Amino acid sequence: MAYLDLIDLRVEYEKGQPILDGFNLAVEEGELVSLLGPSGCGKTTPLRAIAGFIEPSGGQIQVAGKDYTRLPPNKRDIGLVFQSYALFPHLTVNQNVAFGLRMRGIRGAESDRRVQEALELVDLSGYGDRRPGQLSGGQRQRVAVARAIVINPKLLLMDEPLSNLDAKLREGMRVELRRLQQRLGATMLYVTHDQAEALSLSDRIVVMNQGQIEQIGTPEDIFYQPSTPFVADFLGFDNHFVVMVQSIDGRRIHVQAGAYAFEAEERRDPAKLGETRLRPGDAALAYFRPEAATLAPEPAPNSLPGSVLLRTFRGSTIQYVVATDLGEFTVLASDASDPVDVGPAHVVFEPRSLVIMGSDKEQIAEGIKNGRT
Amino acid sequence: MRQSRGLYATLILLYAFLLGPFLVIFIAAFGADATLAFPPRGGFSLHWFANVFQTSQFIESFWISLGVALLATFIALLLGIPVAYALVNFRFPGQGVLETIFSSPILVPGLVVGFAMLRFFVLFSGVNVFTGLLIGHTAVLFPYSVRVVSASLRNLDPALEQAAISLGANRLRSFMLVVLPNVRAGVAAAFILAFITSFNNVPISLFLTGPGVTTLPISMLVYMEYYYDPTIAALSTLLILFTIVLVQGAERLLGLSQFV
Repeated sequence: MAYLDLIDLRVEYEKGQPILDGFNLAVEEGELVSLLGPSGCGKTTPLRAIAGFIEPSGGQIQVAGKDYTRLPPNKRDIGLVFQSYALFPHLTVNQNVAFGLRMRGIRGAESDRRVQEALELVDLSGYGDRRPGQLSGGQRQRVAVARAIVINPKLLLMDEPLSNLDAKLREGMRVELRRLQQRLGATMLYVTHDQAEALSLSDRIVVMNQGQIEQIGTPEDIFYQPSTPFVADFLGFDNHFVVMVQSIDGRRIHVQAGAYAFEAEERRDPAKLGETRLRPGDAALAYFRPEAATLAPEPAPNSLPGSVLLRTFRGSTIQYVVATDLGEFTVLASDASDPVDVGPAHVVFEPRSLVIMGSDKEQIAEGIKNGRT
Repeated sequence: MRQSRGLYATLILLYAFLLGPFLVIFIAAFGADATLAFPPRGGFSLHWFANVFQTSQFIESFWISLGVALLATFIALLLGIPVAYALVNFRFPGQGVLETIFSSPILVPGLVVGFAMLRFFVLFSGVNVFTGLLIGHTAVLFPYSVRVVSASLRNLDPALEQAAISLGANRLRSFMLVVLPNVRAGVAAAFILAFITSFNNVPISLFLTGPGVTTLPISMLVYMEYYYDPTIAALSTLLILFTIVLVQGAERLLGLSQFV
């Protein structure tokens, strides 16, 4: 049994309209798992259910072997960090951080010592007598983290904790949060809509869409080998075309698209793929990132002839729009590469950068509908 | 520029219209003549101010008004704050109806409420006059306290209370330690509004006052039926000053301007 177990969780805000239904997730002790998805995908709902702010209408929540499903929220020992920080404006930083200790009857020297420790961990010692209103956004964020960790929570839950910070601060805080989590060995569930945040922080990422889990995997898995069209789209695989699987040889997949044959390489161990495994004769979708393909003046192995319609200079990259028999694609080239003029060119694929997925006809229909093909 | 000049003129006229009567009363209070007149006749005098303090019915009814206003406001807040909290934080069937009911004394004319209450208390004749007056005023103030406090509660980030609860506070403690301190300005605004409403109330008091228990506005009405001297003007001037001091004091203490 995992440290945090969500089993068949069902949550409905209004009767008969479940936000989550049959939701399963297991998080190991000391693991940082992100829930990633667009706004409105239901990624905050598991967090609210674990914190006890909404009672599930079905299923179970277990933390460290204990049933949390119906436990009152103030008895759960969970550290929460909110998007708005939710610091108590009428209390000083010290009093804010000490609040959870006070609720546990810990006062005086013991409380002072632990508050100091927590503030040191977030690099805020010396700010104890200020009020939240006198702190910057980044400092408030740190106080919120200190307030959550000072109670030695069984679980840390963070709901978009960095999205109110400016871009530069956000990147710095990402690294700090990760370091802090590893130092404390905390088990953490982290909700975000920012893929860069999820990729850089997480041990594992759960990509969600409409209350369903689309894919669970390591950041590398999710980034390089999305397993559904939704995940591919969400993570920047802007190009795709329809293919037919010809043959599979270990990690090598040979596909045919119209008059063209391509070779793709699966990054994951095929033995572990189970049911999602492709079979020869399957219709499938081939996805690739704009930055993962290159343009060449001459035909090359694994390439597709086309014609550059548009070249846009974007600073460190150059963006090309290429028309081919399989559709119109976007290719991003580094500014170090030789510029390609408008006119005939070949799109060349690394086998590893072509992701082949989905033998489901509906998925393919959807892929065609959403795509540019 | 022309537009803003027109605007200024309108504003000055409006203020003159609103504040003019007060100015008349204020000046008339200092006239020596025994008839209320504007401009005052017979020279300058503080006699009528002295007369206010020498008229025992004013002094007695002032203390009763003060007592009723303070007690009724206190009770209205004591009941109103939990009700406001429930209306803001919970969804339950009949909520809309309840909200309408809680605002009905604002909608129903005061005279009707006063008369209804009188009939009611006559039926339950055991209620003494002061208690009846207190109940009547509390009933009128209650909707004000619910309204003002719930407006303040609605502006509070719900995450604050969730944070307190997740840190181990039960609902009562999170309410006392986190919610209440952060809506204290709203509570203070409700207090001032309710206090002034009660202190100035005529229609309810008209029915519910009785022998030996009279509020200040009622004794002023009674006085005016018999005398037409500037005492009332002097008393009104004192009351205006009292109200200004009260509101200014609260403003200084709590910064109410954001609410009123």
